[in-house]
Amino acid sequence: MPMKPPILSVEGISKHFGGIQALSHVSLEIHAGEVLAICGENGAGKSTLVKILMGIYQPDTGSVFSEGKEVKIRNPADGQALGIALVSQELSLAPDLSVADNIWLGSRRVPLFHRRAALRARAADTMAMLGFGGDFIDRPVASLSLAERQLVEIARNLCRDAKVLILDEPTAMLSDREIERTFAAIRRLRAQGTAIVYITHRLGEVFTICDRATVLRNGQVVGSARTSELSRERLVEMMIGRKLENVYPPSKREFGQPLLAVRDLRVPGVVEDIALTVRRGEIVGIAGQIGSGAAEVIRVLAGLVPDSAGRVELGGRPVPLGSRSRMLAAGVAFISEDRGAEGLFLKREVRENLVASRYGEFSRLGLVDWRALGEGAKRLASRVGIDFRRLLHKAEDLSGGNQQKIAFGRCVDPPKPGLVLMNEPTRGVDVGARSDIYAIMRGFCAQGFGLLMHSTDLEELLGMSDVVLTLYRGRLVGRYERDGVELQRVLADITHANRSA
Amino acid sequence: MTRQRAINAIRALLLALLVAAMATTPGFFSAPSIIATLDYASLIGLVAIGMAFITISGNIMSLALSATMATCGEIFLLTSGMGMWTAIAIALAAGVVITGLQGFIIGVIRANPIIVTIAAFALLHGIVSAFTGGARAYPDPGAEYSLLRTRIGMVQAPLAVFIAGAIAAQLVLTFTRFGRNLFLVGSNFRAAEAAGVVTWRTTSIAYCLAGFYTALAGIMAAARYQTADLELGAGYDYEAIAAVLIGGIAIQGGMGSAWRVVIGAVIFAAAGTLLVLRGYSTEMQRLLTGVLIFCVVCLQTGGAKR
Amino acid sequence: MNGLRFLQLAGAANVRPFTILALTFAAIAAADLGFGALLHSATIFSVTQLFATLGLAALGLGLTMIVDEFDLSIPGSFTAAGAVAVLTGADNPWLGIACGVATGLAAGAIQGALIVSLGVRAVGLTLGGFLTLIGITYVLTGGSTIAYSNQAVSGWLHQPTLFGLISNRGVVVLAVFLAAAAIMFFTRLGRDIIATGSNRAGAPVAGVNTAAIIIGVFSAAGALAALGGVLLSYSLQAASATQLSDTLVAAASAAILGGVSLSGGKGRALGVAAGVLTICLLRSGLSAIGAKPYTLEIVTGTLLLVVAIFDAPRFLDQMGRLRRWLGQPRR
Repeated sequence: MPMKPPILSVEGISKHFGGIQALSHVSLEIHAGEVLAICGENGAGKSTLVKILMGIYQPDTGSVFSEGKEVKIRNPADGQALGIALVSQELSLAPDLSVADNIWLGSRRVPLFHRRAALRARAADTMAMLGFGGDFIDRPVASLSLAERQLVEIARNLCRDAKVLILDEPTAMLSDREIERTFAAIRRLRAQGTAIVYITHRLGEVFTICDRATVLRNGQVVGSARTSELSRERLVEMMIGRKLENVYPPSKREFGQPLLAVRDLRVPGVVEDIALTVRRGEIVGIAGQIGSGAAEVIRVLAGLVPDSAGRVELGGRPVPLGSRSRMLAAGVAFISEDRGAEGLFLKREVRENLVASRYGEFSRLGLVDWRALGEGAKRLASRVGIDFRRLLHKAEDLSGGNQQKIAFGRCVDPPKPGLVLMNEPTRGVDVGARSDIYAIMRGFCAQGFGLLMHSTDLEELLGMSDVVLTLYRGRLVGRYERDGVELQRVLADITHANRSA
Repeated sequence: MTRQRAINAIRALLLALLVAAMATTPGFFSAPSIIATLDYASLIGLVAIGMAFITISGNIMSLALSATMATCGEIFLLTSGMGMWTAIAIALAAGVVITGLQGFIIGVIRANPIIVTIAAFALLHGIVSAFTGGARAYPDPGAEYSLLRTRIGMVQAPLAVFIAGAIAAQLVLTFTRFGRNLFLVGSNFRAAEAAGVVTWRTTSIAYCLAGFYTALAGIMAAARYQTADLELGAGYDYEAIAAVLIGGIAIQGGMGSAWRVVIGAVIFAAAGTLLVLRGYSTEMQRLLTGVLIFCVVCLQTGGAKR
Repeated sequence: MNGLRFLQLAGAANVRPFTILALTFAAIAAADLGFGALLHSATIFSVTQLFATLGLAALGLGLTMIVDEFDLSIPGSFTAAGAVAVLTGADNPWLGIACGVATGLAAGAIQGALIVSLGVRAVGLTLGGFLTLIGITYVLTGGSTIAYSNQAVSGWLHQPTLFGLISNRGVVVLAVFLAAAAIMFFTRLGRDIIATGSNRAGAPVAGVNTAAIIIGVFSAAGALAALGGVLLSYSLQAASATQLSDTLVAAASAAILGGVSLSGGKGRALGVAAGVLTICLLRSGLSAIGAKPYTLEIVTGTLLLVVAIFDAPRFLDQMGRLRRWLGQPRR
């Protein structure tokens, strides 16, 4: 295989956004008929690299080669012409079109009058190979589950005979059975000579399905090796740059009175029958896959889901669901997983972002006291480690880690400590800033806050939580204390591996 | 960044062009011309301040403010027999309720603001015609509202109302919790919601204020012409949004100030006066105004994307 | 047929515009009982004439709404093209049509290209486009009504055909609708347009050239509205800047009643045709049965408001919340 030039290679790619160096001098190569894992933590630069290969971003420096020839990928159409295809978590399907239409959407081989029997047959065959029946291809994509949609995306690229297929965290939202289907499809593609780039931070999958692994950390290639010559421990070290144990500050395990008590929580069609408690000084983590409803439980308790029901008591007092402002008044802070869309006001100043939910503290009779507000914002910034000289910068000019600190800054030092709800607290935060965030979280515990979090990063969830709850298809299935929790058990719970579904 | 620089250069060029045109146009700095310009700017400006609340709230613009202005003008004249202040209060209340209801619908269920205001436009036209039978409204014969038509030196009543209104609007934007929340809601609705801002209330108040300022414009215009019909506010939607955009308020929402509206309204009105003084036909004036607005939107939106 | 099945069928997204049309017809017919004015061929002719006037503008606006935009300049292209055609087509009507349609096409293409290259939403930009186009019309017409003297053309366009139910102009408009429906259903273009409206960020990853689609849709929208304007001016033998200033309200109502979603990705040409017919039926039907002119505005406004409310993203959420609140035992 090494005789032939690699089907795709990059040399010395760098890319920065504002002051953040997302990639620096990255080089790697991908050969036909192999599965290359690109591993790295959140923020290591994996998705930036993918977007450069797809022509969505342009690199600042460096070159891309296809079969030994230098190429420029200016837009997704260029990428498609080179046979590069992407299946990402941000799905590119059109919900209003049928499966068959989506499979052939944007393909250069489709004639103007696209309703051809041959195309339909090819789509149907491919979906059949992935285990779907004959009339599946006529269903609108809007009616499919997330897992089904992802398999449709894979089928799309199977139909197009992509030379290089990039799979970005393909199993993040799949059940075990669906993961097996996906793996089967990957093996078939590999046998056909397709090069596959498999982006993941799940170590197990690297060893199951990948031939070679390249590790990115902080935008740089740390190393590259055949998976058969690599140990799990070595891979972890390469990814995070130190031993695993050091990352998470220890729990003091000093729990106070129950703070949050939830019974019979229900969102029609999403979660059923949820009961949980959070004590002061405790971090409770909810484990669950995307689509399991775990993230939704956090949102319901934040008051962001209008159509929800259940009994929620905070410090012994019942609070109504469905109103974010009333939850806030009851002392419930919320940190979103999506900073751009929901977490922050990226176009506004850092100062405004810090005080966004706290104007009440800095105003009287509806009038804002700007002097108190300025001092308050400085205080909040210093508590979470944001340079106060940046208070008047736009939030979008800060790094992901500092942005997340703003989100946490909104919760610190309230009139009285309450509940902090978090979805994916360190998504898009670089490794260095992550430990700061974890320290802030433990700091909350010491002040008597109760924390309830959800994260799809199970190592983080297990590392931070005093109690882990597992959720599968909207129902709680297990509860583990910090001492008795094992990654394998949690994984089995949330994928229902040991039960018949 | 180079794009931003190019846009700034074009802006500066346009402004320089405007100033040069003012300086070289005979009679532009004469009293009648300045009075006419400021007078025009006042009426547009009042509606534009109202429009700005909607634009800042992230709901682009309203297409019903013209109809609201006309309606409130008619209401003012028809109730003028009850005394000036009562008539003003009734007309203002009508403006607040009419526009506030639209804001409530838009805020609570996130209905499309363009469609809701188009519907409101049609409904207002229908309902007002049903009441008046299509007849023009005239003031009650005994009505006394000369205060609204006074002029002290170069300051006419609408100008005074506009200046006071602009100051009040700026104070609201800077110093009230509503004002601060308005910027949050406009720049990112979902983030505002997650931060605990009562988004429907903020949106509704923004529309109520829009109705209030539009009603003020309607009252001043009706008092001026001493008659009103549904055409009283014709074109004001477009002129008001033009003033808002010329002032540099982003159409995406989440930023802006009352000062910018004042600047935008004055520039817009001054451009209109210039065209008249330079002897352009009314048709040509319309075309040039259209082109001006088109350029402003392009420049502005171009600046928004980096 | 089973009653429930029938209701489901009538309410299905593809059929709903036709259901609304039928219900509107039934409602006006019921109000008309005893007068017989509605089924008079003159009334039907006036409905189809209105259809010919509004149809293409609504179709153009609908297309831009399918790609999740909103083209405020549609009435501008409509009016400007009419004036251009009257001025250029006195001797050769085909030249007038070509010039008129080219006006709309160019306006749409320029705006589409700016939307793509500046990366902005259409509403603000097309507002500027609308005012510019109206300004152009004012200059071209000198602010008054200009006459079109080619009697043969206007006579032919106005000529009733098909048992006197529809004019030749109506047939032309109908043919354009059928062509648009065929393109939307059978070709890759139609599919790519839906995909662009359905998932603007994702469609390029699949290989759809969304930039080209958006420019194309705005060009087509401008051209369609322009064709409608040209045909109207020829038929009326006149053009002016103030002609049909309420096109926007009617076109938006028709597109929305025709099943075009405000959030993009949904809509069919034939659905829009049904929506246009509904609006025309309301207009002509209400005046035929002697309703006051303002009734129409109130009915249109209400319909538009109701659709805007039902189509709103948070409508179902808030209804669920309301139901829960009402269902709670009160203390």
